[in-house]
Amino acid sequence: MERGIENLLVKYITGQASEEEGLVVKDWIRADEKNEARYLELYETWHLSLYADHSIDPDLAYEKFAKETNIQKRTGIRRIRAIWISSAAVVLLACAIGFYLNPFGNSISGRSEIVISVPKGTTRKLTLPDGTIAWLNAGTTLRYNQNFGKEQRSVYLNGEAYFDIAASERNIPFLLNTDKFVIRDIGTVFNVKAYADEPDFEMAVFEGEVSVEGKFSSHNPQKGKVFLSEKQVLKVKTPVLNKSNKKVAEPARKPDNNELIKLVEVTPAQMEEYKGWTDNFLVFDGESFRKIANDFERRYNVKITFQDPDLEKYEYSGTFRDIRDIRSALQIIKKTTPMEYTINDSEIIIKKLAK
Amino acid sequence: MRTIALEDTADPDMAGKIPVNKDTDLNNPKVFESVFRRYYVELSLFANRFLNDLDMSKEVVSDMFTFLWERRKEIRLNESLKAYLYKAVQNRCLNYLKHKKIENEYVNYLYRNNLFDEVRTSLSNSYSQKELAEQIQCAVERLPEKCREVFKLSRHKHFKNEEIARSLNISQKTVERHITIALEKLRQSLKYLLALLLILSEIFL
Repeated sequence: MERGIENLLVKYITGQASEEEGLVVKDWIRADEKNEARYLELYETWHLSLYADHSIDPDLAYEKFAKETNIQKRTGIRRIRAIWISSAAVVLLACAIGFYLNPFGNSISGRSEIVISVPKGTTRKLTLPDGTIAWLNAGTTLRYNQNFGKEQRSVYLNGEAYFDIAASERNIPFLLNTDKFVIRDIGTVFNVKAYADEPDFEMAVFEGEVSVEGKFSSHNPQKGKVFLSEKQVLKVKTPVLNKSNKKVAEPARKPDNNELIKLVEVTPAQMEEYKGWTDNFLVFDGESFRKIANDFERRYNVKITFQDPDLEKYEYSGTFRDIRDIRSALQIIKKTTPMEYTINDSEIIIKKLAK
Repeated sequence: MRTIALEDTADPDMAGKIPVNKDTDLNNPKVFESVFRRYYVELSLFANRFLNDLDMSKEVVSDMFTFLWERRKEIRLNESLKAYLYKAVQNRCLNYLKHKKIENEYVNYLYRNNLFDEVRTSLSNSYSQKELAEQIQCAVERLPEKCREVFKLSRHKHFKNEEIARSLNISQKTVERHITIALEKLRQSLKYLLALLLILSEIFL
């Protein structure tokens, strides 16, 4: 087919044709059945491709609907402690948000703080008051002040979250505080993994640009700043601090600076690793068994102990899709690994396969 | 290095405890909410086929739900709730087009060949939304890099061609060409999913 009319046809289908161009295309469509069939196929394809788009937000729509109809005062904060339910029911309520108010509030501003805690074994999606969408992974806590969105947009994260930051009309920057770093951004999509009880900090940017500020090295007291743009991943390994701020789990040998901080460009396919969990996938790309076990512990709410340190170092790449229980997950790993495991309630022990 | 792959095909749509059929108790706000959340996205996408305007489509769906909530006591369902929702959305879209005197060749085609029922049934019963999204996502990821970038901006960020050209520093003609190529490639890889094609092949082959 002639390229000119094909381009016009696509412009028409995608709603970008001028009125005149539209008339030309309509005439062309009506001129021949073949043309019409071509139009219908491309029109269907265009609409079908929207199914992969996640910009339609039922949460926002429901909030608006609830306000208009007074169906239920769900907007704002529910003053109930979220009840964590069995996994079947969680699927149904996947989008419902469990909030509870911290009765003590924030001592500095005197205003209440909103705390969202996702227990191990589940993930949660929620929309913040400014329209930012946040997916929280298992075992994650997100806190923010009640006046969030008005003069400031600060949140505090312990855990892993995928953010699609809403643009701010008044250019209020979005500040994400983790135990070690401050991430600043004004409208982008990124995933950050910052569990306070794990040495690894990981930040992957899907769209836009962000800065990460903080102490990148325990030897250097000065704060640093790193800028990340699209398809870049920042990995920082820092010693875990316990509650009295003393270092625990100090590695046997002092890692050099290269091991402490790493900024890499990755391919779109590799980016999946950093957000697969929002679709109930667990994606690993050359991760150690120990690190995978950490993810399992949160995802399935279990405790995994290795009897053999060698096994911890095995590396795996692959994707777990919708694996509902730890047993199936371990079975898959077992297929390629000389190991056996025992499960006692939520305690799992992994040992080397006896010969 | 080892490779792991396993699929669990259980459909999350089926996991809901609330039956969505003609016995669904719409008077219960909790039930209504779950119905709203469960169908909002797919109904918006369905409406968009007729309106080709996503914002308008979302509005039509929200309006339909508002109507449904206000009249919930009067409405008697003779069919499944899902069938009712799809039909209600379709009627609203067609009324809107008529009222605004908007011409859509796709809608004209459905009128001429009396295909509304078939398309609606085929779309509402086809794949689970999640499955569909995955397959399309895969097809989009297989596009050539530049093509994919342009297509995503257009389709998922709803950028105008002009805006894409500016942000990527390429000409509008190039943008148009990328989108044309993307759409043709997607058509080829998604052929088996096209609702209308399924219907056409049933009728003509």
